[in-house]
Amino acid sequence: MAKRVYLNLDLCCGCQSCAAACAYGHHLQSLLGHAEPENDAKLPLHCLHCDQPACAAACPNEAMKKMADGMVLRSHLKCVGCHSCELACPFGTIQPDLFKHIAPKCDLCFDRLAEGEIPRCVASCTSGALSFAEVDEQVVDVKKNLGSTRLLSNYLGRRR
Amino acid sequence: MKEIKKSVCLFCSLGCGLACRVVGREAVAIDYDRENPVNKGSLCPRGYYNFELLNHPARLTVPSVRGNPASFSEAFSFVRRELDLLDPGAVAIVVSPLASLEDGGAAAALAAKLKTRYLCVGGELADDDAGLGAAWRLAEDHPATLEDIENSDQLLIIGDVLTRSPVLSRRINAVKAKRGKITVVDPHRSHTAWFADKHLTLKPGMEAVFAAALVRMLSGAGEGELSDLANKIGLPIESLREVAADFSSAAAGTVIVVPSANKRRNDLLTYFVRVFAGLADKKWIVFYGGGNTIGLNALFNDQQPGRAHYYELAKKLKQGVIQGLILLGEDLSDLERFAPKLLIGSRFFPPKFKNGVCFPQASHLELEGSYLFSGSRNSRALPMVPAAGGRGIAALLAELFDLDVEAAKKQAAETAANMVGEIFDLGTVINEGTKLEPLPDYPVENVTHFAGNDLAKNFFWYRAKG
Repeated sequence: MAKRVYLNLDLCCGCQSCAAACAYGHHLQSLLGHAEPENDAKLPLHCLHCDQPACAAACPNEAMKKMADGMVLRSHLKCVGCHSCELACPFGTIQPDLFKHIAPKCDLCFDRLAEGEIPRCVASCTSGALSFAEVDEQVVDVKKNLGSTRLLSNYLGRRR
Repeated sequence: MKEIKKSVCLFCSLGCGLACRVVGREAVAIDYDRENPVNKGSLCPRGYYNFELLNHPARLTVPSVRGNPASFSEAFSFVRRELDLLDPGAVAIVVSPLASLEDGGAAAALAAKLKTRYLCVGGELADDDAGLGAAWRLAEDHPATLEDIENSDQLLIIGDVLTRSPVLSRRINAVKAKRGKITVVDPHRSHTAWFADKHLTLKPGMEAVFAAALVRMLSGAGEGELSDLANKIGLPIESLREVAADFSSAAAGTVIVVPSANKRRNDLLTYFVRVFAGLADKKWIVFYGGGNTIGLNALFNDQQPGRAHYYELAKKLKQGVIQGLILLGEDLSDLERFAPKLLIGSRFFPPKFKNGVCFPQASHLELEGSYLFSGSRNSRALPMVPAAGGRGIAALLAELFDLDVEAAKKQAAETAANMVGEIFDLGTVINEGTKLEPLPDYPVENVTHFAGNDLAKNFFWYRAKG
């Protein structure tokens, strides 16, 4: 299986160094958005590189493409900045900010992967919250993470 | 041909390792220094500024005299001429906390030559203030190293340490992983508070009283006094009792203090935390905003006993006693509103002030130097790329004031070598002039690491955030 980026909610400290690392590696356009649940946290939203990518289906110019290794990549030259992929993405990982009329889209730092390195966001993570692992391993971890104190304390506490 | 060159980050006192891919004279990309024991390759957003600074298009490369570009010799003769008109004792020297110990040694030599008392470390006012508390002589307390933090069962964090040094979250997570207890004392629901097992939201500005209450609790104060203190702090007395009991009964514990812009609390807070840690037989550590704050403060205390700190300097500036300001790598253009007769600066970017001289500065990535960090480690940073037109502080002072910098550098290096491990014992007795007085009218709120700092504002990441 392919390796993907995974976030452990309990460990993230919201410092946004992943987004800074992403920006410095991609011509100052951060391809990584941050969600702010209830303004309490800043959690990175990574592209999941879906098996059936809705963004690619929505793209009018075939700029989004599912590669043979499972990565969903966006072509710089074909993207016209029409926001279709942003509206289509069910996870909100494609952010609305355009840079030179190109939509931001995580490319898993394929240049670093080719060198045998890990994506920049994972390398720069200060708290160890981001990991780059096989999808199967991550699914096991997700089950472990269901009892995450972070989410329970944030939301249950508020409802009370 | 790409090379990977390593250095250290100086944007906070943690001292993370930094690696750049360098081609010729230019740093082209950030790499990750995974062998560095402090950060193991990770880097916070501020760490990336180091990289952008190297090739920043707005960097100052020639001196400017009254806002106009000039040659080094013109700027030197202007400074010498103007300085002759002033009383040398009324000249203040402020050194950036990003300066190396060798540069600090040169600044101390200049202060000795001018016979001025006003020699202090810049950066955040709050840091200088906490440095005062750390300089008290106490027998029984022990400063913590980064390894001590990781090995603690109990962490008592006063302030928002993760906004200042996010890379520390790796160590805080290690304490969490082994079911240690993390207590965060902060009026705000901060980033650090997310990690807390117990978050005590006390009244703003009551942190020093909180630490004093813990001390009184351990030294067996009466019920009446403690409930008075608890009322002032705004916390139930039971939670104070719980913190004191938990912390003193743990096998290993560390108190982490973060100086804040809260006026006049930091020296007292640091002092009481040290007493508390000493009584409970635990360790303590202060996280400063500037990389070399610890080293420079210890060096200045050692070489210039009785020097004036920031508060005195700000007060004397307002009264018009100080006539000349030498800001070495420091970014306090706000001080111009006090209208000193002469401003001499050494900076990375063009200054805002108009009536002075500004020299271009070389960053620590272009020079060699030694630095002291929170773990009391004495790291020596090596140059990554050649200097882009700027000069180091020591080289500038040597030429401008005809100082024997080599001797000063050697003395600083010797002091630094002695400081490792026992740095906190070098402190002098707290300055007589620093009693609890209201701070002179100075915009302390603006002197946090982002808000008032032009260095940070010049970078992409800050601009992108608006």
